[in-house]
Amino acid sequence: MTIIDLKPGQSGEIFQLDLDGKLKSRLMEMGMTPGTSVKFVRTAPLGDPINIKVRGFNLGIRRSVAQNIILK
Amino acid sequence: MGKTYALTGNPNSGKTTIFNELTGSAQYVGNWSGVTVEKKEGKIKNTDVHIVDLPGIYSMSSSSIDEIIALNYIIKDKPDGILNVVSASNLERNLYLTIQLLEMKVPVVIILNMMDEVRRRNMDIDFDELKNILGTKILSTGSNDRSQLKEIKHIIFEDNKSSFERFSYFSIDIIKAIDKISSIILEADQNLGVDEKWLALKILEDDQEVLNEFKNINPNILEEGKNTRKELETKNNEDIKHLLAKQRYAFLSLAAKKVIKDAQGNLEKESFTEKLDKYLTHRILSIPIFLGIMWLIYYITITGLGDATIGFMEWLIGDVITELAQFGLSAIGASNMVESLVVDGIIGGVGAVLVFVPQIMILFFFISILEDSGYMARIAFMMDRIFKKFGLSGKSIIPMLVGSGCSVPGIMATRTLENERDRKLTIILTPFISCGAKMPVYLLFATAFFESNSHWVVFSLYVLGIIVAMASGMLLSKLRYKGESSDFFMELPPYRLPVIKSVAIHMWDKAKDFLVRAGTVIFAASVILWFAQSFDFGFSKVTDPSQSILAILGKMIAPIFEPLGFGDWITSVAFITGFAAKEIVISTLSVLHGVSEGALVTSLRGVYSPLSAYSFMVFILLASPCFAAISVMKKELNSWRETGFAILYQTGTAYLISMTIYQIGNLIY
Repeated sequence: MTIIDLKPGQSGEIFQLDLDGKLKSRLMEMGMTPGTSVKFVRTAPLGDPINIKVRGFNLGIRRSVAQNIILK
Repeated sequence: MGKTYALTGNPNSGKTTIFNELTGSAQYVGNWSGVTVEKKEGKIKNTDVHIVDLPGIYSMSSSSIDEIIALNYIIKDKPDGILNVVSASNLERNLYLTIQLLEMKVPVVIILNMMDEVRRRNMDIDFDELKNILGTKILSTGSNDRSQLKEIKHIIFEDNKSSFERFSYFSIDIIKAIDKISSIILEADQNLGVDEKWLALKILEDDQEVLNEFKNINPNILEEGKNTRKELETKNNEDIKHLLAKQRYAFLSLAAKKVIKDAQGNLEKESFTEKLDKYLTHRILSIPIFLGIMWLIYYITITGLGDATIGFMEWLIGDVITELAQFGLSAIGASNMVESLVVDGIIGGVGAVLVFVPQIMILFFFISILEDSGYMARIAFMMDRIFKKFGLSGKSIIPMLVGSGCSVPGIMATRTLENERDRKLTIILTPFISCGAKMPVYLLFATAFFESNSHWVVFSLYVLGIIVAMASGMLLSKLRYKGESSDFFMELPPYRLPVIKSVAIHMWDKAKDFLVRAGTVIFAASVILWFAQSFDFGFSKVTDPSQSILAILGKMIAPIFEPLGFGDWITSVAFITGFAAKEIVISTLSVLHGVSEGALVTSLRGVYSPLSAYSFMVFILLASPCFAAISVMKKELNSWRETGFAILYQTGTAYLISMTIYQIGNLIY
């Protein structure tokens, strides 16, 4: 299960980030470390990117990235 | 001796507002050593305390230009202290940067900002506990209470060793590795000028940017670092950087739990921002709202307030100042020639530009509101899907929106784009978005030739600029800047009421730029133009300007513009002088037609047809930007080749599109 499998309003817990080194580092530095709770807030009006909430702040990420963030 | 403090913090932590609060009008802009990126400095009033505003960053890992600038400043310039702005409403992520600063063993004081936001949500922060965890002094502020900022003047940076145990949150094997490498650094006794444990950590992380600064470091140390890193990564089956981030955040999660007083679980409740986002990023409503806001800004700037201020400024310059000057000059018995220089040359040239100062300030007012309120990030979020289709990232819209005020800060704003390809492409496309200085040209021509439809004509130019930028994005990403655009990710910061002081400083900065240009470059250009059109090559006064030096030179290049519909020498000269600053185009026309701003309309009607006037406006819109923008383009692209390509591409596109419009228009009419 990944972030995009969540419904708007639902939360999950990050298991791992299947992303390449640099982007993975960036997201982890912003707090998206394994074990962190992540909430799917809503989809952008044109369907991509999506708005997620991590550690109390909102982040916009593309679906292509979100589907590589594996949840527990 | 005065002290220098560096101001650091996450983006959206309110750092800029605090900088403005501390330094007020005593700000100046310089460049960072090595990179020519704007560096803001200021002085606290009535003190010797300098504040250097470092770029907003999330981490000290040197993976973006902004992070490298901040890191280099701290390790090389060694400020007397670091003021770390931390947003209390987002403690965990903000403290990530803080503990990285503490790991550097530099003196840090925390400015805990946004306390009002926290309290408004019925939560609180335990300052004593936070102080206990980090071992630093903490000043708390919020938009309603800035009193503690006054203490910065005579702050004393305490030794923060007392309660904060650096690296204690890392696993034993990492701590051991740091100890091992740092002891080798100490043995080598190289006097590298930074804390050895921090350097050991950077060697372990293999941070190339930092290691570049210490080229003379003993290769054995690097070798040892490499081996230790490999060992650690194999053992943990994870990249060292990811391990560090994970362990720091584990520590910060616990710290936040201890510090945040949230009895009713308000953190999880829907905030004001989330309520507002329901509408502003709503599936259906958001797009009309966005277009509506853009239209409103455009309408108020160009037609609403704009028209009113132009009328006033024309009256002020054309009637009041011109008549006063004429009266004064004849009273002191000045010759006709001097009067012509002052009235036609200086007042005509500089005045033609000054007319638009209020309007440009209004434009910057709105851009500043968009940025400070947090809406700009939503625009990027909404537009990403579209921009992706054109080979760009949603973030590219921010430089473009800023560029609608002025391409210079617009091009600088590309630094938030992580991907080099996206950044280059956005730098080249941003000048297609019409800037504030080009606006006066359209307004003048549209009023002269399109009367009742003038607003639609100006609007069509803005739209054309956007279309050309998008189409070029698609074309250039196929031909020259191949590859995928970066993976868009962007913080959507809480909505905040823009602070009047910050907006006012921003507006004044831009108006000042414009006024300084009017007083220097445009003044000089107006005087030179007046001379060049008043005299011939034998330096005798000509009665007919078409015999002047300028006319002869202008006529040499004029044929180039013949296919575009404006092959007269005055227009050609105006285009060339427009390189200095786009608003000079109208100063030039005004001086060379020998009339003031008001009468210019009539004399322009004698030279252009509506079609050639439109073709001219399109050419001004799309052709190479002014020198200031070209030099920033060069700095940010860091290559003459790329810059040369950009100018050629922009001017070539302008030429082709203007010619197409003029030639097809001629066939139809």
